[in-house]
This record gives sequence, structure tokens and C-alpha cells, in this order.
Amino acid sequence: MSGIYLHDIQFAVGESKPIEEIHQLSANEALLGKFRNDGLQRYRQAHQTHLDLAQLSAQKTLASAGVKPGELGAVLFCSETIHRRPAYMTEVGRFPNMIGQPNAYLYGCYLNACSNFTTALKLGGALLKSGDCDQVLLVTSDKAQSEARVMPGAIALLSDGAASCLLSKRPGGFQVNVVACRSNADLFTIEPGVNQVAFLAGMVNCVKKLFDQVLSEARVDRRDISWLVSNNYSHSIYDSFAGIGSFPSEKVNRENLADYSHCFAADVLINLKTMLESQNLEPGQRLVTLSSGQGYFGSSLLQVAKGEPSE
Amino acid sequence: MWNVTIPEALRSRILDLARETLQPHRRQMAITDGMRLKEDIFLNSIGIINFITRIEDEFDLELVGNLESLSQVQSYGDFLAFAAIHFKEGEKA
Repeated sequence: MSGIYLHDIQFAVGESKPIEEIHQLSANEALLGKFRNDGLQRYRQAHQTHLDLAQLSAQKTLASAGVKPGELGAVLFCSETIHRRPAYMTEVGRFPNMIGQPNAYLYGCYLNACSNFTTALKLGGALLKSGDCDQVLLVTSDKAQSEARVMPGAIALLSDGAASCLLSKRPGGFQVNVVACRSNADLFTIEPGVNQVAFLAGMVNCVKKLFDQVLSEARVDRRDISWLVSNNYSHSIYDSFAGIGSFPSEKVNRENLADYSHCFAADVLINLKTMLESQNLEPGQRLVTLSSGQGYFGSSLLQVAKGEPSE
Repeated sequence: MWNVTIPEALRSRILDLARETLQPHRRQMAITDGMRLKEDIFLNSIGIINFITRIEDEFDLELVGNLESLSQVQSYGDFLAFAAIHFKEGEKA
């Protein structure tokens, strides 16, 4: 997928709150302690809808990229929140108009849960390669329902947030070298918190193969990877991902876990954005991303573009 | 769970692998068949992941090949029985 860039990342998240305010934790000291010990301190709670958050983020991306009204050919809209609402088609169907892009075709990326980002990255790259359009807006936005923020198996705490970026052949941000997706349908018959050995065996298998695939396709040795960037679950899970991929634990980007918790599929983009802003990246550095839903996993190999991080 | 005889050599080999993946100060702990894998032995998901990885490397197999059966495993004894049923063909010579 060389020649495609992911740039002008922006995000919009809810208000920062201490995890002690999550109702499910305030009544369960042991569970609260578990999350604290695993690095979680705050989460994000939005008063806006997930569509409002998506609009905020997308408008920032379009403005920073200098995309003119009506110019955009395609929007990849990722969410797990919308199909829980009966009116989702009419609500989300208005999104191109909400961001001043009435000519953009809206592609929906649902079902792959917190792996939706990589699914959209794969599809966006294919759209660009096909010549169907020359820039694609990728937006991912979700909001926890009914304040139920503890994920099944108590693996993470959900936050409300959206993130967006532009995919194009214009150099900037990160060059997208390889994108790979892998699923295991059997994992949908397994309760992550109940049948732990089976669930973890399935996850290990998919993630290990994904890492091997992206490194092999990019012809890159894992020692040349500067960072592993994943969803923000917990320090334990960061360590697990590093162990599965034989990456040193210190190469996992962890800077947003304490403050943001897990913003569904927006995590990886949020992390990439803050890594660029913290000026810790150098042009040419390679990053491996990992995003995961229950039975869906996606990974990419990105390279920091020349001129990044910009001033 | 499964009514199966567990060969002593297999039991011993898996016990060695389990001990290798335990935290150093816990490696001499007694591991009995009734113990739960996560809560009583490995304590967290990373411990189980390390155990899975070590088992797959040692026996040269993929546990996901028998995921439905594996999903019934809760205790250490369950895992030994699972291994007795499924590891024979994939076991290294």
C-alpha cells in the first residue's frame, strides 16, 4: 500500500473524569483497585452524541488539511454505537452535509468493534488505489451506552470519543506501508471473561499471525519497529500484545491510558496524534499498530513521513 | 471433566512448562488438578498467554485447532485432560 498517507489526525473526546465516578466502580472497591493498579486513572464522558463528536473531529481534520466544501469523494464512517439506535440511517446519513461535504459517498464500517479503524484503513487504501477518489475521510466515533463502561471480562473502561484523519497520496503524517486484517469467527461463541483460556488462545493466534504478516509484507525486522500502538486497554494487555509479538515492552506506546482510557476504535488515531504532538517521533521511524474487537483484529505498519513531526 | 487417562510423561512435561511461566517466586508452588488456571495458578491474562505460547512452541501445535473443546477448560486438570485428548498427533517426536 505504499504511496498512501494517513494525515491531519484530529480527535474530539468527552470531559475528563476520575474513574472513581463510574457507577460500576464506585460500588466495587476490588474492581476499582484492579483498574487503578493496571494504570487507569481517568475516562472521558461526553454530553454530545457520537455524531456530534464525529462532526467536531471531522471538521478539524478537513480544516487542517485544507479540504474545500464539496471536494471530498468519500467518508468512511466507523461506529459501533449507531446500530443500537433505530434511527441510525437517517441520523448518520446526514453526516456528509453536517461537514460540508455533500458530494462524499458515506461508507459505513460497523461490526468490527474496536478494530473498525484498521478495517477502514484497509478499505480507504483500496478506494485510493482504485482511483475512485483521491482523498478519503476516515472517522470513527463511539459513545458508551447507559454509563455501562466496564467492558466484558473487565478488560478495559470505555470512554466517549471520536477521531478522524484524511487518507490520500499527499505526503504527510504517516505513510501506510501495510494493512492486514484477520478474524476468528469461533471467538464469537466464547465469553471472554468465562472461557478465558480459549479466548486468549484465539487472540494469541490471530495477533501473532497479524504481526508476522505485516512485518513480512513490509520486509521489516521487528527490531526496526520503534513503537507498537494499540487500543488503550490496560498495562497488562499492553504487555500481552508486546509479548505475543516479541516486541520489547518499553516499545508499547502507553501515554494516553491513564488520561483517556479506551475510546473504542478511536484509540489508535488518538495515540498517533499525541505521539506526533509530543515530538517523540522522527521521520522514517516505523510503527506497528494493533486494533482488536472480540473476534476481529487489524494491524498496520506505518512510517513517519518526511517533515514530521511538523512545527 | 473428560473421563480420560492422563499419561504421566505428558503430565510431567506440562507441569514443567507451567512452572517455567510462573513468576519466579511462585515456581515451587503446589499445582493440583482442581486449581483454576487464572485465579489460582497464573493470576492474570499475561500468565495464561505465556503458558499458551510456551505450550504451542513445545508441542508444535495451535490450540485454536480445538477451540470448542478448549472453551470448556477451566481448571488445570481440565487442561491436562484436553492435552491428553488433543496433543498426541501434534506432539513433537
